[in-house]
Amino acid sequence: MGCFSIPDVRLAGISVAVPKHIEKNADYQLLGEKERELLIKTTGIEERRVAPAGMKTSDYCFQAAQALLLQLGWKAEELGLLIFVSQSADYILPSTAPILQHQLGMSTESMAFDISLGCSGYVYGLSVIASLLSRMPNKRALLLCGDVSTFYTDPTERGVHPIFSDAGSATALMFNSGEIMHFNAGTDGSGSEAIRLPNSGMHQTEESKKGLQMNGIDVFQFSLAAVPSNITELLKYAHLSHEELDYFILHQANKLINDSIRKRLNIEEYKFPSSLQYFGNTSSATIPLTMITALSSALSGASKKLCFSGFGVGFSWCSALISVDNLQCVPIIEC
Amino acid sequence: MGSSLNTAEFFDKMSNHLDDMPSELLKPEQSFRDIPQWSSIQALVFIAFINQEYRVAISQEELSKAETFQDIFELIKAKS
Repeated sequence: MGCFSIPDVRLAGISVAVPKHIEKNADYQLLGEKERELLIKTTGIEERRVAPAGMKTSDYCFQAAQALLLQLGWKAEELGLLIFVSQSADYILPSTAPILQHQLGMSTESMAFDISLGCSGYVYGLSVIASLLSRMPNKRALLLCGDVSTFYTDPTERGVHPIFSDAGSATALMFNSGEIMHFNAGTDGSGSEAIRLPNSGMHQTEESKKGLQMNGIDVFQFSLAAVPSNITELLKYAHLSHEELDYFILHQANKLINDSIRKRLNIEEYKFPSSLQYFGNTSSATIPLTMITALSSALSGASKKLCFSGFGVGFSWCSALISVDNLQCVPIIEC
Repeated sequence: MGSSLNTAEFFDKMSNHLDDMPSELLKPEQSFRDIPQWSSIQALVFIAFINQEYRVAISQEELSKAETFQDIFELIKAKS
């Protein structure tokens, strides 16, 4: 069992930036009309945001971070920790987090580093940043998550191109005595070939570059096998029932996967918000994006008990139980 | 748990789930890849139906080795 708890950290606010440019799956000409209809019905994805050439994940995260600091009234020099979670970093080296630390004007006495994870990355990132922050009284932190996945997708890959979309997010956290977060993490590298970018990193050869590859059936089976049991185990660990939770905010993989997980857990539809229709799968940004687009008014000025669950490439998965009180949600930024 | 396995019931439920496919082709000896409307998305919908209904997980590799709907039915029986 991968359950653990982290005390004394509060989620203060979230913000997401997306590209202005919209692509519609109804216009995806590589599929016939009937197949396009089935694709939209099955994935739930009508529109995707696509970054123009030159716009990086870090650019969207930077915009999200600046807007969030402004809304919270926090100064960059008050931050002691920045973690950038992405699989579309600016470079293989240097890490992107130090670039963002400098751009934001954070103190040089800050800790800043990258985590290379995709769809599970938001919840993994929360667990890492919260563990560090819980030992740093008087410090504040930023978790920046997202991907420009369309940089890697090949438009002719029918099982990949109509799914992925671009976004960068920022989540602000602070030390706050008396809070408690619960996590349940898992990893199964036997599924490492199910979603991958071949011919990249140390595997890069002279051959022509291939786009992001995904084995949809194996990803579906993994998600159904891993996620419902991971959430159920975490609820048991925290002595909570799902009736006591207000919302389950899951990584937005596609409608078929997310609906199947919801039915397996036997949870009402209104507790499972979605952002798939207009934003597709934005990798590690899907959870904050869903909170902002579907739950801003419900979270504003209220106390809520939330369950997050991120799952995908690796295979890697992690769920969290987190209470929020008047979580600040910056309206979505288009840039 | 999902439903117990019965041939007629399986094909009946399959027809309801694969409502975009010609129902006359949804029969045991049919090679599913020969159905003009068969696609990777249709395959995913089919696999999801099996998982939801029978709690049986069929992998991409297992699907690629199967030819007919009967092969899939036998696979579900073996894995139930």
